[in-house]
Amino acid sequence: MHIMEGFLPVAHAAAWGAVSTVCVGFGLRSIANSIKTKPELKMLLGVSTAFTFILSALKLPSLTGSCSHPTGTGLGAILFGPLAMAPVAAIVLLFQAVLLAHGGLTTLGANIFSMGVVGPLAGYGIYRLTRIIGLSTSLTIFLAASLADLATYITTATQLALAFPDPAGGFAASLIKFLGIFAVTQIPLAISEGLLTVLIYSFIQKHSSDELTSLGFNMNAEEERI
Amino acid sequence: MRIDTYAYSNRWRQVHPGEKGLFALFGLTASLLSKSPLLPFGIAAVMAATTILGAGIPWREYLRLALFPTLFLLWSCLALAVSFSGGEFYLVNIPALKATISLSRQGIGQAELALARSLGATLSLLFLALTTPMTEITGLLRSLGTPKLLIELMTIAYRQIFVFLEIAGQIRAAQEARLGYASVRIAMKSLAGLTGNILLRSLSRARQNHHGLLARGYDSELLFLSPRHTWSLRNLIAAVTIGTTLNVLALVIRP
Repeated sequence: MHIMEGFLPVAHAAAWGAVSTVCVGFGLRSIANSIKTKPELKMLLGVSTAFTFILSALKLPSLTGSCSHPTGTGLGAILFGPLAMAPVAAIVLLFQAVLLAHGGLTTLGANIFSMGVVGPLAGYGIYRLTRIIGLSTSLTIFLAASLADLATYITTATQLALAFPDPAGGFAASLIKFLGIFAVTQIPLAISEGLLTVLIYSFIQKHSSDELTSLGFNMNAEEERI
Repeated sequence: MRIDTYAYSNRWRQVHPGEKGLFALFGLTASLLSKSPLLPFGIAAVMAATTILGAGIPWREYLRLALFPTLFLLWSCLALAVSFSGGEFYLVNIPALKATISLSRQGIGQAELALARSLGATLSLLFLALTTPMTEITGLLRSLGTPKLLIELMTIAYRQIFVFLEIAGQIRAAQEARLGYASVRIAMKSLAGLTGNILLRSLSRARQNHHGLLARGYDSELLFLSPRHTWSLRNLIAAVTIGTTLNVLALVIRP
């Protein structure tokens, strides 16, 4: 879920921008370190960024009939690891702003933080956790992808509530309001994205886990991530 | 991707990207700094006029492009105006949740200001998006000192987007011709096949690109040439004058 251009007050926009700059810088440094040993990684991440952008341009059949699109944060975090996702999200969000007039430049920081930092961290954390518990692969992927979406949506609602506290009830009342209003589109979206990610994952595994393995991904065992 | 097409074919294509970027940036800051909803609407009008009359974007097309973000914006502003904790204008009572939905005077004011600011800022962004191609924005970011790695990733991604869009369109057409989107269940399966295919293609494409680079003497650094643009004093003065005026007005005008 994107915060529109110009929606946040100056101080909030600047603060989220600063936080996200640090996160993107941190992500870039870890990518640069991995590139030293695996030079093909740069091209892989660049191409995957384009893939994520395409993913966000697809319409997802949603349960309530609202128009929504997959975010790919969960899938990306599972494939590449959570740290690489901040720069990827930064580029995807910039492209969405400039090429589709969706999101914006002044709210780029806030959006990177929710979609590129919190979402992937939550998704990856849940992926590792459910792996340890030993749930089935489908359930693991479903939980990681849909909870990454939910974490993104809760972060966005928190950002909006911080910027626009309720005149009577303050931050808490405002947070409940935003969570309630956006739940209409975001909860069905999280469920459909979770289902879609499971289908994508099983599709890839069925059709070409060999090819993925030769590229450095091992879908079955633990693999190296950034 | 209509916006991208206009970015390459508008009347101001040859204008230095820095001048256009500066103008858009001034519009953005003035919109954000405004305290009264009146000025951002003015900024929106200035931006729309510059884009349509100056850069020569057809007005019908412009309205269509601006409509989607505006609708999205109205939905977000509705969320701002509504309050669950008792406002002046009572709307609905939900006994199950023990909550009342109402509009508060302050909430409406907040929503009005946010709507105005956001509209001014969105049209400023749309001005930049419709007049400046992504490659030149990347060049601008590079000269502003963005990390090299980020620029390289951006350039690779921008090129690949169009390759994938074409593939996705073809796969989608083939799936639709076979009733692949007839029901929600089948649609999900088709969509997974489409995305899975593009993901696999993107991975093998990345490997091929990397081999291609190695064959051409790739030394862990991608080098780009930016097209040469000359700064025009007249444009620069116009952008700075209008921009500064808007920003000063934003700071001066009180609600």
